[in-house]
Amino acid sequence: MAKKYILIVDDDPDLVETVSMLLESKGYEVGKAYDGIEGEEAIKKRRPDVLVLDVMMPRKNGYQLCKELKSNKWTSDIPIILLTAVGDAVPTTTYSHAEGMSIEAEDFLPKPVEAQTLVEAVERLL
Amino acid sequence: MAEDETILVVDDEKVIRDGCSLILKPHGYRVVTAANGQEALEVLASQPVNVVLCDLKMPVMGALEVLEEAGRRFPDIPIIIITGHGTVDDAVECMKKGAYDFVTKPFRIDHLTLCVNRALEKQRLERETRRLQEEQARNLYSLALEQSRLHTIVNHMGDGLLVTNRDLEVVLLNRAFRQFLDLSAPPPLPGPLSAFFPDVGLQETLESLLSNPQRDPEACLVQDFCQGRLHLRALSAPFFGPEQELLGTVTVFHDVTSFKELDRLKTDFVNMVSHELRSPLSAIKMQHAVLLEGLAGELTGKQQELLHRAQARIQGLIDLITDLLDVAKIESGHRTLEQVPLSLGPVLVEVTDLLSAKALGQGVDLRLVTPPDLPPILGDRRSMEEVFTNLVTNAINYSPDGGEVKVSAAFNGNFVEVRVADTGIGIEAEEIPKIFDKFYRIKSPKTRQIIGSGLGLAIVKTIVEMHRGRIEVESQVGRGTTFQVSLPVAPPARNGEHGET
Repeated sequence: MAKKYILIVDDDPDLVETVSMLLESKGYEVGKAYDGIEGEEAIKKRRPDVLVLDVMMPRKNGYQLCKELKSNKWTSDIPIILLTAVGDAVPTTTYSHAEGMSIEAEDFLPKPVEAQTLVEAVERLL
Repeated sequence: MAEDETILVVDDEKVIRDGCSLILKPHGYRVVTAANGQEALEVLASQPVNVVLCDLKMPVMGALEVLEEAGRRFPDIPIIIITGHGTVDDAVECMKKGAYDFVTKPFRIDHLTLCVNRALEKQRLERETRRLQEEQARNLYSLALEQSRLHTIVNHMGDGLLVTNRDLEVVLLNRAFRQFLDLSAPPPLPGPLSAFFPDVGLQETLESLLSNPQRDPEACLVQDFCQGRLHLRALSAPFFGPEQELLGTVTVFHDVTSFKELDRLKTDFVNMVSHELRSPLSAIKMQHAVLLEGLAGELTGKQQELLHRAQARIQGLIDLITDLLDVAKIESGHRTLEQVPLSLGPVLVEVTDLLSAKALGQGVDLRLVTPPDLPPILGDRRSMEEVFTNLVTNAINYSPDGGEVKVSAAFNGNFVEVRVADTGIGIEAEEIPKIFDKFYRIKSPKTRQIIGSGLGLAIVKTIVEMHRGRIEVESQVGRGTTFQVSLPVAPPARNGEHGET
């Protein structure tokens, strides 16, 4: 059976590297992207089994990408975990809470996220 | 009667002077005499006299001259002329010159006393009238002064002012209010409130004040309004007339725009900083987790121990940032506490469940005793969780050699009391007053291993006090510490109350 493919999209390279090491150690294949546009391209190249998506990113943020994926019938069934720091940590102008609430993602994890919590969330969606 | 009233009798005939004295003294008047007009003026100048009885014709100076002189110098002393039958015409002349009355010689006793009494009465009335006139003038003056002063105060104060009558018509407003509301040409007074202030929230508040007025002079309703780019804080209170009858409402508008703006900047800043600090810390923590899992190669026992310690310190920093953010939120009033009926039983169950693993890990026996019929308090669930999580975590942390942590709740009069008792290391008596201070931490060999921000108890105390409760602590070194939180029981039903005082 082919390895499950997890795509991580986050502009914090430390987080991406660490999470991918963790997931790789659990036997998954991991793709890495560092902003919304890169994430989009990575998805076009290979469809992930789970997408871990940060909200606050340059060029295209996680909300936008999530919305686009969910409104496209080819990608709407990719499970998405949104990493939100939006609840209390960010001025609400660009990343409004209301926008977050209206987004259809499979799971929301507040940042900073524990390694274990993230791995468990990924495995729940596989 | 009239102990103090003095009658001056002026006559060149001693018989008349004595006769008058004899008649008047039994009526209680003081009588002084003078033999001619000249003497009479000297007496008048030297002592207070109420009425003068004055013979018409006397040597040295007669009544006409006395009238002229006294009328000028002592205008409020009535002068009665004593005259013979033959000189009535002269007496009439004297009346024209200002004499009050005349009596003819030989005079009848009752006529004389009547005449004197009437003169005294006239003088009393005149003096009273003059006093009232002066008082009225004074009152009018101070009223005008007060009005002018009030007008200047009202128009020059920085706060906006709006006064309505009982029918919620605006009867007074000031310049600041016109500026706040951009009313360059305000509608005529009195006018309906809606024409002056568009937000119906104020109308509702004032209506509730008028229908259910608070007699407490300190009480007022506070409300915030957003008016264009301005943030206005409105304080409204009813006012009453001298008979305690409700006359209308006064609302003072305070411009809190810059305060709100600063508050927003502070919040944004705190949020940005905490985010920028928390993200890298959690990345570091995650990297440690990867190392500890052995994903980057096998670790020696020593390396593992060091990494574990480092992870605990990082978690401490993350907690500190969370606490700092909390304090900033509470202090800026940004964190609004809900005031809903809340049963503490389930909260305590949740908190102790959540911390049971931690207790177990430290060899602490964590127990909860709560009666099933605990009455609800008015409170904010998240804050209450925070309070008891903090207290129980502390109790566990400060029991380094294991022991027991007992959480118990009880109902005592108007308060629900929650006690968190440990059998840990205890607190020195002199440290107790300081433990609620921000960043205060007890330093001793026993506490060296315990990681904390020094903010926990400060947050706990602030939250408890925001719930109108109190927190007390008892401790014995080596025996343990008990924190007791008392929170007022929710009143059975609250209606018509939606303001703060």
